[in-house]
Amino acid sequence: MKTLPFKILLTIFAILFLFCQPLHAQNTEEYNRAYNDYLFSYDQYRQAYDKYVVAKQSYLSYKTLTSKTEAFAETLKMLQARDEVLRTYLIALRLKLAQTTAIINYQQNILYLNLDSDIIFYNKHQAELTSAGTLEDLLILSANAEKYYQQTEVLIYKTLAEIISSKEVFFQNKINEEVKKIKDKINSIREKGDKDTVKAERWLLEAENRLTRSIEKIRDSQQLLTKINSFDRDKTKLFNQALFVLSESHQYLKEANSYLKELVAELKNAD
Amino acid sequence: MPTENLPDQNFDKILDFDKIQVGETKPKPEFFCVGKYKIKQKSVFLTTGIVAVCLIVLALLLNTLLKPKVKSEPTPTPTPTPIPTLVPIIAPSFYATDSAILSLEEEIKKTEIDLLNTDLKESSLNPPALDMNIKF
Repeated sequence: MKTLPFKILLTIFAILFLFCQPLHAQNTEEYNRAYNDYLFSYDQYRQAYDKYVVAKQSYLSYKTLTSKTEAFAETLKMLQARDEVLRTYLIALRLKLAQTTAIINYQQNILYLNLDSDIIFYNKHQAELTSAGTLEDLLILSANAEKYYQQTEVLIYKTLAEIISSKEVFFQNKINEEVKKIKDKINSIREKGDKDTVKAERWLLEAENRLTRSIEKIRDSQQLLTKINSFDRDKTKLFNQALFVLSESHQYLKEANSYLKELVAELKNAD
Repeated sequence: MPTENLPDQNFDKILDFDKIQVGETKPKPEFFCVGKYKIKQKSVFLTTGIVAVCLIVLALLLNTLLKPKVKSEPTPTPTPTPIPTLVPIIAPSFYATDSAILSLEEEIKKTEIDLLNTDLKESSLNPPALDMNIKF
């Protein structure tokens, strides 16, 4: 009878363990679902856009009431599809940010808030489109969305850069931990005095140097991203420059890790 | 009667007009005349053909037999060469089997693989190409 509560606890724990999915796997599943929704809505938008182009050409050629009605209907569908694409894309982007970043910092909090507000905007805009009575009303509403998209585009690039930076920071922390462990090991070997550690210490300095350069490159990329604003015509150019700097940071991380690999091999070698 | 104006009375030379085909002026000779001897044309052509074929065959045989032989060398087998490592383990130190060192080594190898496999550009999340200039 004394063991019964323990058995009950064990059973409850086993049931919870079996039915509770790990958080990371759940995040990945959610992201995959959101990404598939985005791809589907983009496909719908492309189809609606093709029909819109045909209806527009027809109206511009004939200028009849029938062609105008047709153009109105197809433009409405296309604009709703466009808002749906942006809404699903931003949801997928938000989930990717959540999947990649472990500890939320101030910068990421701002991004989450802005992403949420943009998702709400495009959802609301989609509903507003149905209230448009004429083609001219539709064009006015479309122009509002297009103006708003200028700042959405900046947010997209900043979020993408944050996702990539987070990966770099993850690797930096990992390599930093490896450096600490190797440093402790080298110190203990030096204290024992059974192996020469001069070469290993020199190589460790080289690895730390590479790690420092990687951190500097991430800061440089963040500086570049602050320059992107909604008035820039070519936001992609600045984003690509930031991406290039992040790739340099990645290269430094690879070098640092490679040096640590050599260092370990050196420690395994006799003098 | 004067004999100088008389035509040739050699009747052996007269053509047999019944046998001659239309368009044919004279019959084909069947013999080659070589001095006093007559040789059949058919036999001449046949002999020439056989001799020519024999000469060609002889020439080919001589060519293959008298061609200088190329000494065939044995194909070299590649000798295995050791793959160079970053720092070759010449002689293992006391720490070659140290558990902390070995676990560190595994960690570093895993990090190396992760670094190589990371998609830095996140190209699947590029902003969608949308027409943001709707006008009529």
